[in-house]
Parts: sequence; structure tokens; C-alpha cells
Amino acid sequence: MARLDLLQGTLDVLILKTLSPGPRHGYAIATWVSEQTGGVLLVEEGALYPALHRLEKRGLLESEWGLSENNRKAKYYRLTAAGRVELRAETKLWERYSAAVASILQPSGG
Amino acid sequence: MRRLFRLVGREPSAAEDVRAEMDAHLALKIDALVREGWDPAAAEAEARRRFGTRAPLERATAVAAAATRRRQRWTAGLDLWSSDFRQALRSLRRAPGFTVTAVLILALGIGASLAVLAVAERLLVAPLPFADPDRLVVLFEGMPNGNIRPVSYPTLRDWEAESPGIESMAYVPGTTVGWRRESGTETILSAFPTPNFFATLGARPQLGRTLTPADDAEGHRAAVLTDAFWRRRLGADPGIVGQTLVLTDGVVTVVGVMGPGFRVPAWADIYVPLSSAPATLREEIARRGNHADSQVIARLAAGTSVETAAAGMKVVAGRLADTYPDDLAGWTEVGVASLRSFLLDPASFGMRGLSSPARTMLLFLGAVALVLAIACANVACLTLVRGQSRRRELGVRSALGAGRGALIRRLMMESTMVAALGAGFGVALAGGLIALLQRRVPDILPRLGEVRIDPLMIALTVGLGALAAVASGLVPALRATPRSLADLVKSGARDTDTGGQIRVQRGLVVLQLGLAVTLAVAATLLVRSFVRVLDTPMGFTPDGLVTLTITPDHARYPTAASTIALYRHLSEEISRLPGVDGVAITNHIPGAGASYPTALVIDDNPSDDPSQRRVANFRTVSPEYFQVMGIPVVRGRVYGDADLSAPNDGLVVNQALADQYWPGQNPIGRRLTVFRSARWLPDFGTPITGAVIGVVGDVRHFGPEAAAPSEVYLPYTWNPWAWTGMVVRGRDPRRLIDPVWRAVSAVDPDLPAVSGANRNIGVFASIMAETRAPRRMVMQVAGAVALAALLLAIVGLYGVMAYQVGLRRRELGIRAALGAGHREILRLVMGEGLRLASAGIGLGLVGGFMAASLLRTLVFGVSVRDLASFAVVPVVLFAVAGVAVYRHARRASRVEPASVLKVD
Repeated sequence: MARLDLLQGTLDVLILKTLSPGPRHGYAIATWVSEQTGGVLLVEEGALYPALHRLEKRGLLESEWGLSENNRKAKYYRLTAAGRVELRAETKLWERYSAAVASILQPSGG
Repeated sequence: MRRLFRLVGREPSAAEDVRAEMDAHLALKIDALVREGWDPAAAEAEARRRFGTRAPLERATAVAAAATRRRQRWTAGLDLWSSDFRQALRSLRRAPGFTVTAVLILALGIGASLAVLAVAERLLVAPLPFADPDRLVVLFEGMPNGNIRPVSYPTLRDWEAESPGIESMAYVPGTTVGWRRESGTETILSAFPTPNFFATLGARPQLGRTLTPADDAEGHRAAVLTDAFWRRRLGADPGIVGQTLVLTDGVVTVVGVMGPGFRVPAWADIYVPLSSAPATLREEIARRGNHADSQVIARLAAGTSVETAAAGMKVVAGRLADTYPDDLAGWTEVGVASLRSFLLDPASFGMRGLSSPARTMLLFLGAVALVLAIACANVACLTLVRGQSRRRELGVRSALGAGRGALIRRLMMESTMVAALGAGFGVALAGGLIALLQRRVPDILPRLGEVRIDPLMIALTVGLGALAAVASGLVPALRATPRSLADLVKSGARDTDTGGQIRVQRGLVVLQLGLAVTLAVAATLLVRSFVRVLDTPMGFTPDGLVTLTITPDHARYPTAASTIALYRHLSEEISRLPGVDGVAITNHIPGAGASYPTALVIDDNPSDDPSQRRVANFRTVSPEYFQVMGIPVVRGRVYGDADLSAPNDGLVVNQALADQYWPGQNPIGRRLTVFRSARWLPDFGTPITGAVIGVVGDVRHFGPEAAAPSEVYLPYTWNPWAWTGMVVRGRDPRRLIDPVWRAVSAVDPDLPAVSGANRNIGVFASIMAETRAPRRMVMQVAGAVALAALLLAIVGLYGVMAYQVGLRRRELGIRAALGAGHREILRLVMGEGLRLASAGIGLGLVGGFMAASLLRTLVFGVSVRDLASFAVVPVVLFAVAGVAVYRHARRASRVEPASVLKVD
């Protein structure tokens, strides 16, 4: 369960980042993350939609029904201005976190 | 591409939306698998498997989705309002004339209403600044028939011993005391309350402390100041506590200052413990027969009503009346009234000379309601006219799909913005008005100093603004928006709803005129009644008089003889001054509000029925009094120097007394007994009997608004008063003030001297004018308001006429083309305009009549049959309206048929 918590936070920031170039529907978000990470990170579809709706409730995302590439109905999500701000903040936080962890895992200086 | 509402069909619920989303996801997944080469059926099974169990997922997502929906709806609503707001702003900016005018008018109406409401709230609604103020009452000695009189101190002590239903009582006598400063001696009014006074009231001081029983017990010469005294005479010095005031009978130390709402009794400047009062006062109040210059405040026991307390005290009073029949025969009841009602309307308690704030407030409230109504009607008219000229714009919007509701919302938003701006400026105006009142006439209404812009005022502003927005915007909005598409199509070149519009406009104009005329009639009535008050003959010649009051320190003039000598000396010194035609001594100056009643025995028959009070004003004067004052001698003779030495058998009365007790007969020779009323002398209450030797003309002693009382005049030497008034007649009274003062100071520099803030000495005519200041202010305000209302109404009439003529250009052009001459058209338009004006004026006269009946109960001197007032306003208004109408009629008659027929 601890792993799930971590994943929850990570998932949110991944979603935000995925949407930063432009709007995508849920399925596209899932496939894009897996493609970008070479299959290392697999977004569980069961976790994806609750995350999307949570982010939308917080006002970081907006949604709209549209048509997918192959003419199917799909719900598109996109970042709001608040979402962009959150993305920047989360990214900074993530960088600091990973740098801190990395510095511990590095062999000590001397 | 932001579609926030889907109005096609029913909006899907959040749960349905989530399900649809999941389905879509699955469909995409299946597509992808199929593209990879999966068999469609297998692909579907695989996709579902990978997705996992949906039900809990859907539920969780649905909850989040619902929350999002709510937010979106709210944001959408906000967006709608904000877009309406911006549009309304833009639209108003494009019509600056309308906007500025409407805002100003509403600001006036709302500002005036706010000011009056704020003051009224303080006065009538807000609790008095005392602890548990609803339990505070004032007490009087009472008779079964409703007569009341102030309680005497010994009787109060007896009441205190047994007072069912009453928790505590306090007795507050007062007198003038001299206050020594570098610039001279001034007189101030000092109250000397019993020890529990401040505790009974439960009032908190703004500085220092109040008086406590310890002050009385220790004989501590402490003084508590009122806020008004502290501000006006001591410059609101923040370090006043601990400083001393030098009074003629000793030094007092200031221990506290009360807050601005504390005005009990209304005349007090400072409070000093009763134990430190001058000896003469303490002797006076010890007499059971002394019923003057005092007040009794009491606190009811918790849960006791006024009626219960009165009933309880009745038993006590009845018993006392039997024990002390000389003073209390017939006074078998105790009058109990709430302190609030007493402060609001002291006049109804026989406290003549005090204005009645409640009545003044009612007047103001009525006037202000009318003004607000006129302002709203005016703005409604303006809005209506504006709506008419926007028909095209609104029609286009309607065609583009805006529902009627949306259009009305937009128009109401404009009205609300105008009203909000008006309310904003109105608050500023109200604040300014109140500040002005507080500085100029702070005493005009009690608690005026407490009125501030506070949250209640803001709430009132919002309320008034909303009221104004609806009153001035709703009907025009409803009228301006087309009811249906058919309506819209039908309009176009010809405005078919013009008929309805015009009717509403006409109605509004008539209403405005009616309200304005009502106001104007009321104001005229007030003005005329005031003028009548000014013109009422007082019974003497007020011009050329200087009056002053001298209060000697009886520690230095302890006997009657020394006091008489002082008065005589003063009189002689003053009469020697150049420019002085005559000097006279009197115990009370007419019109100043002070008097003292003495009981009478007529024809040596003491009346058996104590409820038949036979009283008359007890006046002690010098022989020259009647001549100096210009009071005519109707019959017989008045006193001469020979009468001064000792009481002989002759008394002088006035016509009112003669008419009251010997109507139609010759009063000369009739026997009369009065009772010495100088309270500071040991012979107080002893009788003086004599025959009437002369009758003088009536004097309106209580001012022009009250009838002349019965009076008995005695030479001042027979019963010298504790203080004296002096009247000095000269050609140039203003030039006499300084010399007279110097003469007084020369006789005794310790006698209270003149100072600018004091009313001890002054030209009588100016003093009278001063006391009328509140009345005058009401009149001026009423006049200004009525004028403004009339102006508004006339402008409204003018505007509507102009607009309607513009509307009817086509019709008039056609008439002209069909042969109607200039004159005919002129007559047509003028006829209509004058009909409107007449309707309005007629309505206003009816209203004016109602107002007059109302005013009669509130204000002295207003007569319902004052035809001149009722006639003046309509005549003037009709004339002005006629001119306005004529101008437009002329313009209408000049319409060229050709120019009109060409259009459209």
C-alpha cells in the first residue's frame, strides 16, 4: 500500500506533464506514459481515471467530450492555468527529492 | 469551444458520464488490440480483463466527477454574471448622460434616507447606553386623573422605604452654579444626584469613573462631566480627570466624563454628589412641598412591568397621602413611565420647553420616504425612455437567441449597477450630512453624537440600493424586452408597444408629480406655521430688549434683605448707563421656559376637590416691569414704589387669570391668596392674601406656541427670588451688552459674568431666535427637500414630454399632412401635457391633505384649512409645467410632414 501512495503522487504529476503539450483523452495518456518510459512505468487504467477526476475536482484540469483520432467519442482533458502552476511546483519538488535521494545513494566523496 | 452547458436533451449525470468515459476507453483499447492483430471478441475480453473491476472504480470516479460538475456549474454561473457585469458596464459607459443623472438622483434619495434612518435607529430603536435599559423608568407623583408632578425628596425617601417592584431609585435635583475661570464667572447647570444614581442607571463613563456611594459618605467633592460640557466648554481635554473646577461654593475634582449618549437629566452639565450640594439646595429639597427642578430615575425589579410597579406603588402613595395631607392630598398614585418614552417625548410629560425628538423623527422619516419614492420613479422613467431607444439592440440580441430571462437579467444588472453606484455615493452623502448636523446643531436630537457609519448602516445601504434597483429597473426591464418573437417581428419601423410604454411613462410622471406636490404642500404648511409662530404676538415688545440672569452666591447674600439690596443696586447701576431707557427686575424671563406655579385660593374659598388644580405662575417683579416690557395695563393699576416696602392688600393679576376665575365679571376687589414660592427662604409656602388691584395683558410665557398662562405678579421685595432676571430696554440693545455686563461686574465681580457660549445675557430677540433654531432647521430642510422634489418632478415631466413628442413625430407629421394646422397640433400636445400635470397635481393635493392631517398632530400651528398653502403649490407647478409643455408643443407643431413621411 505504501507503494500505491507513492504511485498516486507520481501519477498526478505524470498526468500533468503528459497534458502539458496539449489536450489528450484518458487512453492516450496511459499509452503515452508507457511509451515514453519504454514500458517501465505502466499506468494502471484502474488508477488513471480516479486520478484524472481528482485533478479535475481540484481545478487543475478541464475536460470536454470530443472525437478521438479514429472517430470514437472520448473525453479530452487539458491543463488549466492552475494546473500549469501546479506542474511547475511539483516538478521542482520532484527534482529536489530525487537529487536528495541520489546524493545519499552516491558513493561518499572521500 | 467551451461548452459549459449541454442544453440538448437532459444533461447526463456524473455517473453516466463516467460510465460513458469508461466505455470509450474500452472501445479505444479494443481498437488498439484489434490493430495489433487480436480477434475482436478476444480483444474485448482482454480489454475488459486488463481494465479490472469497474464497479468500485466507477463509484469512486463518479463522486469526484460530481464534485467537478458542481464546480463547473458554479464557475459557469459566475462567468455568466461576470459577462453580464462587463456588458452592463460597457453599456452604461456608452450612455454617460443617463448614467450620471440616474446615479446622482439615486444618490440623493438614498443618501437622505440613510441619514434619516441612521438617526432614527439611534433614537427610536437602539437600546439606551445603560445596563438593561428596558427596566429603567422615571417616577412622578400622580393623581388618578392623570396629573403628574415631580416628586419631592421627603416623599421619595418614604417611597424608597417601601417600593414593591422597584429595585432602586435615585433623586436628581439641580441648580445653577457659578464656575470661576480666568475669563470670568460662568453659570453652569449642576445636578446633585443621590448616591445610587449612576449605579441605578448602570452607565459606563468614557473617561475615569462615575460617582459612588463612597463619594457621598466621605463628603468627597467629586464631579462627573457630561460629554457635551466636556467638549464645548473644556475643549475635550483628554487629561481632564484629576483636574479641578472652581465653583462658587467650593472646588470640585473631576473624576470622570460620561459618554455622548448620556443625557439624564437633559439639562445637566456636571454631576456632584448630593452631600456636596450648596446648603441652600439641601434645605430646599428637604421640604415636602418642593416639586421643582428634579427628576427621579428608578430601576424596576427583574420581571416587573411598568403597570405592576405602578399598582404596587399606588398603595404606598395612598398611605402617604393620608399621612401628609397638606402636600399630598389627592396625589395618591405614582406615575411610572419608561425612560425611553420620557426621553423621546418629554413634552407629553408636561416638560415644556423640551422638544420632542420622536415627532421630529417621524416628520423626517415621512419626508425622506417620499423623496426616495420620487427618486426611484424618476430613474424608472429615465430607464424606460432609455429602454425604448435600445429596442433595436435588444431585438437583435433576442433574435440571436437570448431568452427574455437573459435580457431582463442584463437590464436588471444595469439598474443594479446604477443603484449600487447611487448607494455608494449616497453613503458618502449621508456621512457628510450627519457630520454636518453633529457639528452645527449637536443638541437638536439626543444621541446624535452616537450616529456613525457602522455595519447596520451598510446593511441599510445595501437594502436601499436593492430596493432602488428593483423599483427603478424592473418595470422598465419588463417593458423593454419583447415578449415573444411575434412582438419582435411586429416592431421594426413602428413601435407597436409604444402605447403600453407611454402609459407606463405617463403613470410614472403622474406619480412623481403627485409625490412632489404632497411634499411641497407639507413643506409649505410647515413654513407657514413657523412664520405664524414667529408672528404671534408675545404680549410684550421684544425689540430693543436686553435680558440677563444673575445668580448670586447665597453664602454671601444669605438673607432676603441682602438679596433685595443687591438687586436694587444692580438695577440702579444699569439704569444709569447711557442708552438705557428702563430697567426692570423679574424672577423669570418670558419665553425662557422657566416658571413656578403657586396654588391659589379664590374668593377665600379653598377648593375641596384637590383634582381641581388652581395654579398660576408666581411672578416677582419690580414696579417698572410692565412699562419696560411694554405689557399693557388693562384695568386698575400696577405697583408703584410705595408698594415695595411691605405686603399690603393689593395684588396684580393678568387677564387670563381674571377670565379663568371671574369670567365676565370685574376682577378688581376680588380676593385672592397665593403662597410664597421662593424656595430658598424659610417662609416658603406661607400665604399672601389680598384683593386684586389691577389686571395686565397676557404674556405668552411659555413661548408663542402655547397659550398664555394665568399669572400673579408681586413686587419682588415681598418674596425675593434666589436668582433674578433683568430686562433692559434701549434703542440699540446690542451696544448695551458690554456696558451692562461691566456694570454688573462693578457691583460684584463674582456674579456670573458673560461669556460667548452662555445665554446669561443677550439681546432678547436673538435669544428667541436661537431657541427656535431647531424648528427653523426642520423648516429649512423641509423646504429644500420639497424644492428638490418639485425640480425632479418637473424635469421628469419635461423629459417625458420631449421623448413622447419625438416618438410621435410620424403621427404628428401625418396629422399635419392631413391638414391639421399648427395651432391644432399645439393644442393637442399641450392638452395632453397639461392633463398629465393636472392629474399629478390632483393626486398631490389629496396626498397633501393627508399629510396636513398628520402634521397637525405633530406640529403646532398647522391648519388643515390653510387654503393658501394648498393653492400656492399647484398654481406654481401648473405654471412651470405649462411652460415646459408649451416648448415641446411648439416643437411638435413645427414638424414637417415631408421629413417624417420619408423615413422607413
